[in-house]
Parts: sequence; structure tokens; C-alpha cells
Amino acid sequence: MDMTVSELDGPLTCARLQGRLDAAGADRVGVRFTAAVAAQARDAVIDLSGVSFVASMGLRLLISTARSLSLKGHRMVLFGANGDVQGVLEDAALDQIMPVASTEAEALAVLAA
Amino acid sequence: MPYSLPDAAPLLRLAVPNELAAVESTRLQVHDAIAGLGLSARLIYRLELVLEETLMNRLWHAFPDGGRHSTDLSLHLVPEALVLCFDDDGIAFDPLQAPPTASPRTLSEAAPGGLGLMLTRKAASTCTYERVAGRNRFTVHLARD
Repeated sequence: MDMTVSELDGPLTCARLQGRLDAAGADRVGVRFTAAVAAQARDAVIDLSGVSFVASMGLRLLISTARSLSLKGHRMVLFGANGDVQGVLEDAALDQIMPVASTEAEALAVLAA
Repeated sequence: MPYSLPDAAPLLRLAVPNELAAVESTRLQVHDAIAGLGLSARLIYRLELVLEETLMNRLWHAFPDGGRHSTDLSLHLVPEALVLCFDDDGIAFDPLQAPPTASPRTLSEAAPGGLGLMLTRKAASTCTYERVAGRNRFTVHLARD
């Protein structure tokens, strides 16, 4: 599991995840992801287009990060999930508790609205 | 009624140590075992999901006293399904008796626990649990597409 982080206009955080967001992947990237996204006082978009697999420990990381941002009055939007990953997000009802967009442009539009 | 494993020889039989690194090595061995069977990508995803969630559950909860333990995993192919059987000597735990996780409506409602079991139930066509001779046997059928 790899991650790159950049700052987009807004300003907002953009984290791009790459690889398997399973228990090992969440363990590998968790501290950096939390520091880069949850610890910031700004909205964030999370690019899942490079994520080939997600399981419960990955979902926990996304939920805890979104919750931390929410407590500070900020939002986190997921985008780019492939069909299988999107299916897991929906099975776990993540799409009911945080915005899930198809593309980066849609994710940015959610935050701009 | 006790569940009987399929008669056919398993595609794979492994003793998986209760350590995090074993989850990934097991996934790779399972991939080798199913290579060339023509299984759909969706079925393989569900297989990986059940494998990950069940082995992680065992890793976190089955052996509270620690020590060296393993989960005996067997993988079977029958005409209608892939069948995973997990057998371990951990504390008794019937995952089918755990209350279903309610879908959260807000971030604050999202419970940290229960996601793995919920995903396993959604991925499986059927699950069975038995406690036999002091061992847990959890069997998961994944319907072939």
C-alpha cells in the first residue's frame, strides 16, 4: 500500500492510495494517512482509483479519518473506486455516511457545493 | 446437523499460523491453487475478502492467551461453489450468533467493530459453524457466478 499526498486549491488535501487496503495495507499506511488527512483542519478528497482491494481494516481507517475531520467541521470525499471496491463501500454503507464520487471532478464539486 | 466437507480432494490444505504475515502468504498460496480454474474476478474478490476477514478475526480474537496456534484452512471446489473451511482450537465463537451490524446513518453512528463479519456474510451464499471436539469449524460457501 502506497500513498501520495498533495494540496489542492481550496485549500484541501488530496491523498491518492495505491495497492491493497487490507489489514496489512491499512497498518502500513495508517499513521501517515491519519497525519496527512485527519490531523489537518481542511477538507479532503481520497483517490481510490489505485486501490485494488479493500477490507474491514481499510474501511475502519477511512471511517475514523472522516469522523476526525467531521468533528473539526470538515468533510472527506472518496472517489475513483473500482466496481469491486465500490461494492464493499456500499455493503458497509460507507456511501451513506460520507460522499462517494465517481471522479475527482465530481468529488471536488461535492466540496464546492 | 454437522456439515460434511465435499468428498472431492481439496484444492488446498494449509495450517495458517496466527500471525499477520501469514494472511498475505496464505492469499498468495490460495491464488496459486485456483490459477487456471477460470473463476470470475468477482468470485476471487469475495474469496479474498472472506479469507482476510476470517483469518484476521482469528488473529485478533481466537487466542486471547497468545502462544503459537494455527488455523487449518481447506479450499474445495464443488459444481455450485467454492468452499472455505476454517478449523481452529481457539475459544468458542459462533459468528452466526453475533447480532447483525446495523447500517450507520451518520459517521458518529458507524461502529468500529463487526464490519468484517458483516462483509463475510454478504460475500457468502451460506455459512455454517460447528464446535467439534473443542474446535471451531467455520465453513463458507461462495456461489460460483
